Amino acid sequence: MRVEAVVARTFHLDPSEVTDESSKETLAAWDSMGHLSLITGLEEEFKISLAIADAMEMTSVQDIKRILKDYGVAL
Amino acid sequence: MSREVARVSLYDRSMEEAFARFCRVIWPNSREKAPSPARRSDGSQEGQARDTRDAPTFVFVKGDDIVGHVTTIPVQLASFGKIVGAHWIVGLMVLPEHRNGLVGPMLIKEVNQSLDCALSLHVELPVLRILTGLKWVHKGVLPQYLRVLNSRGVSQNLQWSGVKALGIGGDETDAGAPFGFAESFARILGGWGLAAAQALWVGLTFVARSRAFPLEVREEKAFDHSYDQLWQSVSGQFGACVARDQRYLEGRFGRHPDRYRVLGCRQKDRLLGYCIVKTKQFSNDPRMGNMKIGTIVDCLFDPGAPAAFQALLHYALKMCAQEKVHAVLCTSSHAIVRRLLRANGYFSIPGNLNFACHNRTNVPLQDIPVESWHLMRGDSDADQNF
Repeated sequence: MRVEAVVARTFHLDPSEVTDESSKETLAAWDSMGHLSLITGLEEEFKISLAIADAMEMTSVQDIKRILKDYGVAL
Repeated sequence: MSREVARVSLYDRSMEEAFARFCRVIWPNSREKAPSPARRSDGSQEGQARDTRDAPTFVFVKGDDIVGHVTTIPVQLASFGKIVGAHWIVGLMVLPEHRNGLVGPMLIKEVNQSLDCALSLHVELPVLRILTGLKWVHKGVLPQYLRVLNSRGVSQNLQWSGVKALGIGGDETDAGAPFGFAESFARILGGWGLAAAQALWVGLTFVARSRAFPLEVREEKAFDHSYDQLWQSVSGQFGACVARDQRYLEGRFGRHPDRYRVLGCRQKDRLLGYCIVKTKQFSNDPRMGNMKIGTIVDCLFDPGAPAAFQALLHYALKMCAQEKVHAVLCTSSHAIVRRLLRANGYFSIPGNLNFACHNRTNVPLQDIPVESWHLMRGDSDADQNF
């Protein structure tokens, strides 16, 4: 649930509102600056440095989890 | 892990093809509007840039493609006797499929890391959100003024939103009212109102303007050494101002004598002030209709001795009237320029140019109020659409 927690914190949501289906299309606050804040939050939370191309592909919670696995993050 | 390389980098010649593809998407109808690094490198750019180290262009590269771009115009800023190297950022563009994503913010992050002082004049609110999100200071919207020369022509051509902008179109609740009678009525009333107000101002300001008659205003064809002298004599009087010396003026305006007309106000041979005017004939424009608009894009004079600017404004109006211009537009931040515009019959209309700055120099530019900056539409190439 750590990814959901970061997403909730970034977009000022209750963690229970965040699901795998949450995405740029479903969250109004997930715009360009929101995306940058989210990437920064994920890097701090998981102590990783994301490649820009990977960060660009993180457009839903599901995508975030898939890509984080490639970085060896245990979810 | 990463399937495709994505990075922000400085533009270089090896990216010419990718940049051309990018431009064809962003500016499909006009090669002229692209603030192209290639144009800059061949010396034909708007002036100050000499090479990409002076005027860095940042691109967001994804695979073999450029998907985002921002370029810069280097200037010298004068602020209370100190000179600061600064850059206008212009042409922040992102391919449609990458908007609302990381591309724009990553480009501005790179600007923040690379440049000590960066400035922006822009209309688009998404750009403002990115800039302020990355700690730029939004100084406000530049005030804008309009002087009507042909009130009938303006009332016939101005679109509904323009009538509202002049403050004669009713309150917000009228916004959804059907066009037709109400719009026609506003157009007629607006035309009469503008004509009456203009006549009143002409009468009221006659005495003030007549004092300027001993000064000689003429159209000038080149920026000579007296422009340097003028700059040297007045530069300390602005909170902050792009160094408007001979070299800057030659690069910014002198290369386009077909586009800009330079008016100089002299007493004997001494230059007391100048202003730069351009005109544009609109054609079926959604806001301007078929109006011909004159724009005062730049000026410089001693704020403590405004007679020169009065004389310049008088001459500029006469010149625009001879060219059948419907209205003259002027965008300006400085308190004295604004006061003189109002005194010469210019109406305040809502502005749309947001001014923002990023500064980590030891000159506290971000604390200078916008009315102490001398900014006009000619700064940052912000006059392109007028």
